[in-house]
Amino acid sequence: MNACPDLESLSAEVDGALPEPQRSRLRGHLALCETCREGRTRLVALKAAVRGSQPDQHPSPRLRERLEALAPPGPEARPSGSRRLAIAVAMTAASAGALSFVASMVARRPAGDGLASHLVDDHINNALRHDKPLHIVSADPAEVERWFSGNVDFAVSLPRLPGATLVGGRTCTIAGRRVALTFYDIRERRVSLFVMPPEGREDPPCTDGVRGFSVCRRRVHGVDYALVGDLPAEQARRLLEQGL
Amino acid sequence: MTDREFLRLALAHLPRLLRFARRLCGDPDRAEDLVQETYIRALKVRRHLRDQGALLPWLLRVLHTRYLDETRTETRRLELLAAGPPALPPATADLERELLEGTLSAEVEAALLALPEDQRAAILLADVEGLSYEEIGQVLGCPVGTVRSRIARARARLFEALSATAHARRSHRGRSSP
Repeated sequence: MNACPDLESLSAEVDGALPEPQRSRLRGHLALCETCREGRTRLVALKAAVRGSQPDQHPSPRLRERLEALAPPGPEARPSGSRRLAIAVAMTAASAGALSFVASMVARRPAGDGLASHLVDDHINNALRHDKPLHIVSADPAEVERWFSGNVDFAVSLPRLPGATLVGGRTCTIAGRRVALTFYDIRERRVSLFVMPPEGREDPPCTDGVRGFSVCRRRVHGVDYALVGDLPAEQARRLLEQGL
Repeated sequence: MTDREFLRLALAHLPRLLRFARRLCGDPDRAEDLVQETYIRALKVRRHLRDQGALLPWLLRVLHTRYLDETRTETRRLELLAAGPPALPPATADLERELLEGTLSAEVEAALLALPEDQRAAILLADVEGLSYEEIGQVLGCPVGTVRSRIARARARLFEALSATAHARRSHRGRSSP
């Protein structure tokens, strides 16, 4: 190869992507042409600089939690027959005192703990994975409220969340009750707003520790509002406070 | 394969997806959002993945498509039409030395972000992710020849931008020295 190669060929050679016999011809040319050798050296330097231009970003714990929550582990495998028998014997032998201890531990779990987890599950399945279709699609709160009036057994009054656009809603079941589940877009984030009869303690503190999602609840005029999403808990709290 | 099993395999590539997203969009928060949307989308369409061995390029493609959906503009198409054959600007010894010493990280990052999106994605996949041109073609949905051309154009543009920056810095130092 006498003529100098074009930049495309030189660049591909640096990436090890130049097929034979072009590669051998180009290497032969490089041995004789100082200008092209210098050009290749510059390309190698640039490649290294692009690779090292930024430190790697480690996934935040919240992102990891949110991703893990997209497909949570299923129920643990049922124990085998012999293990089941052993467990049954052990259970029979357990003292009444031990059973009452377990019962007291369950009773001491914070009220609404399981509820927050349930709300996050529904948020993931409906707002993020879109496993279930919307029953009503509308950005008009009045229209969505009207639709819910025929589908849940309590009056639904939707807040006007500042900076959020209503997308629509559907019904879902929480603690055995049919409740209203609505969706809002805040920039490019979708959040879920559950509107439901009072459940658990009133106005528990907002948290962003439920598998990486924030859950914020407020009770107004005997109706619970729960905002769930991947926005910071403080932002969720302010949104609810300003909207209700 | 269950969703959970698929997710476990896909999460093994999380650091690389995040790295690509971060460099593609230049914003750590946006990169995390983009990655989350990628996994949601991947779980939905995972039946389209034919070869389990090609999971990484497939995930990168899902991510890139999602990114394009968010950012697609007319200017991108105009760039392709206006571009001529790529060539390296004249050599400057200082620039090569600085590149090799890694003292131009911020300038390189800025120059990468100023590239047309298709060129930026191609060069990042080659230089940072170490993908072959064939794999980059799978991610970007284009032939190998196009990959090769995009990477060469990206390098020519980066040299142009970095040469201009280095020249400006030298002029500034020359003026400010007594």
